[in-house]
Amino acid sequence: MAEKVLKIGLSGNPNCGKSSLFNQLTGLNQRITNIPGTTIERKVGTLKHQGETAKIIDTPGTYSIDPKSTDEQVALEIYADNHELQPDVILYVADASNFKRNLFFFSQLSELNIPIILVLNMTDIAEYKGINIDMDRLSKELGINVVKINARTGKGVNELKELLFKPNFKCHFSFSSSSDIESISDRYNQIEKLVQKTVSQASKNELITDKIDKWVTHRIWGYFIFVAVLLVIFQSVFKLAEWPMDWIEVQFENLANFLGRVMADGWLKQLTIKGVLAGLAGVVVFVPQIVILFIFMTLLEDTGYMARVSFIMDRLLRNVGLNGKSVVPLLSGAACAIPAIMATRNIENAKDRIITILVTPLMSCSARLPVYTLLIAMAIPDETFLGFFNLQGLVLLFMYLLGTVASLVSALVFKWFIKLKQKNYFILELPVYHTPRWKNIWMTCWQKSTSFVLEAGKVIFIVSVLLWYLASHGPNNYKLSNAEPVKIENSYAGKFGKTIEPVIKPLGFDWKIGISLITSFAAREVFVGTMSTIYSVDDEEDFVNIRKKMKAEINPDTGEPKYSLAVVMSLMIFYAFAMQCISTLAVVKKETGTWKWPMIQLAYMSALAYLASLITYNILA
Amino acid sequence: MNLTDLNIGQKAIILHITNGDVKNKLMEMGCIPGQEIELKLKAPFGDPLAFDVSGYCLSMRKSEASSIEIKLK
Repeated sequence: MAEKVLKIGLSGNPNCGKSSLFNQLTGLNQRITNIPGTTIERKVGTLKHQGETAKIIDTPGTYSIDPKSTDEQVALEIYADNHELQPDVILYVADASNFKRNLFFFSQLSELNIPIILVLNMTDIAEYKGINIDMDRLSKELGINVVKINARTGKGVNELKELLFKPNFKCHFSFSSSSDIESISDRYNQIEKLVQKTVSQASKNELITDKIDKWVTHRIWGYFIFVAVLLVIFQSVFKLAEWPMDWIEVQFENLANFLGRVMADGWLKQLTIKGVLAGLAGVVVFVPQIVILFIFMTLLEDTGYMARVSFIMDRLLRNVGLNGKSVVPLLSGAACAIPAIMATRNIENAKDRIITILVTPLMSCSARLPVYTLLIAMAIPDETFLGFFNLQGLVLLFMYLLGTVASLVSALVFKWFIKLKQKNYFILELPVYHTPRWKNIWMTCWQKSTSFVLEAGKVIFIVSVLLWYLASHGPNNYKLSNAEPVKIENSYAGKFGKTIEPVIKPLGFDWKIGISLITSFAAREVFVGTMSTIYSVDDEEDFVNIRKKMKAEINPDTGEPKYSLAVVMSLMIFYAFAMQCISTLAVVKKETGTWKWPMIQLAYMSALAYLASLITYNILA
Repeated sequence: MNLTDLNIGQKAIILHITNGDVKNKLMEMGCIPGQEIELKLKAPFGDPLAFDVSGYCLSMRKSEASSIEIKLK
């Protein structure tokens, strides 16, 4: 007996608390699915209640049925006729403290001929603002069920669950009759009539939000606060992550040792330990940093602060051809460009959006960290500068600033080159500040982190296996046994490195670095694993040993240490600018719908990396 | 007189929005003729601006605000 699964479409404006409700209703039973052949992702969850099942389809917050951004198009897709996910019931979540505007989209959806339930969220804020809604009257006027909830605490959610499975009604209140410009006014006039009958406004208290905003958007304090927030994030990412990262390294070491003892000698053992395990360790060790970064990003977004950042940064960003709304993707790019690029969906202007997508990967992402960490340790002394600034920390900060400046300058250049004339707006809601909704934050963070690890993991797994094979096999039956640098030269990997050596010699690189550049093309963090394979260190995660071997390497031409300051800076700057992430290119293709943009990205970033590296090496050497 | 002529804390009534790219979007967001609107905040450099309208806070660029004709309340 086939169970009829009820399809529930969750819709509402941005900032209405929809995702909190989604989490309340579905708990951990949610998946993000990809519609094959499109760039659309959907969040679908399952709700089981007293023997019945419902599928809840979450959609991005939207202001209107006339979509102006990609986000909005996605939200409305499921309402198309004959769509497989077309809902049986619409669950419309409205922010009660912002009732009139929230009713606009509601009014449009109510005309779709689908049963609809109106959910009033944030009624506590509404009450604070002196707004009182007569639910019974509202329910009568609209002819549908109206429910009050607090999505954050879960109050009212059980009653809502009951209602979902009962028969529901189509709205019989008439909001308008036509669909042209005039009707927006009409619609609001009808909404006004409805509001007059059902909502009473007592005296308003001054909101804490307004008090905070005076500081946050202040000419001087606003920017101070923003920089302070960034500093806190930057420091936390590095300090707080240290302990978990060390712990993860130890676990991988133990696993490697264990497998070393337990597995029979042979190619499988080599492949597993030096290929796969080494490669995976490279990405998993950075998960703590990524998680902390994602937590901060989500926190800033959730509390409403991000909107203010866009507000104070718009005027500045406009000068380089970006939009205030580009702030979120750019900042997220410091964690990982992939979710950052997906976050550009709310930028309505196509040109702004493309430029943001093109330059975001220049922001120093977490994958560059292992590279910077290793190289800085090699050539920058662990000393203090001016008493308490750690020299190594300063150089790291410099690399981050370099990425940021590069992205802004590149945006400016693109502004002049790209010809796309389209509607350009900033119009942005500044929501009331909320204390963080931790459940949501953990959930979002978990989803983003696991998807990052899985995606990166797939790529790295393949690359590690390939690299291991290419480094331990070569023409003429060459086999890697007691590997020494000289022997790697004869493997396939070594041959590739030698082939590109003439091209990279002006940058100060040799064939060994050449091999790493090739493998890093897939994913930057592969660099460390590759270098350790090349220098055949027994313990892959022992940075100290890799460093020792690399430090001891002498340049045959000069008799000086190979990894001098010049080479190290040149290499770091190469990594700062080069496009070395297949996953990013894949996401850009998905988000823009064409190979044109990822190819342009690959071309300009490679050129930038080569030139910058060339200049750096020649200045310092 | 348009929205950019307001001072912080001043209230006005929207008369109409000049035709253009942003008209639809502004109206959907609650900027309707007859609606009360108040200037709440100015970003550094005086652009963008943030207004209280239709019960919430909406920010927009000066260029967008200039398309909204108003009369003082």
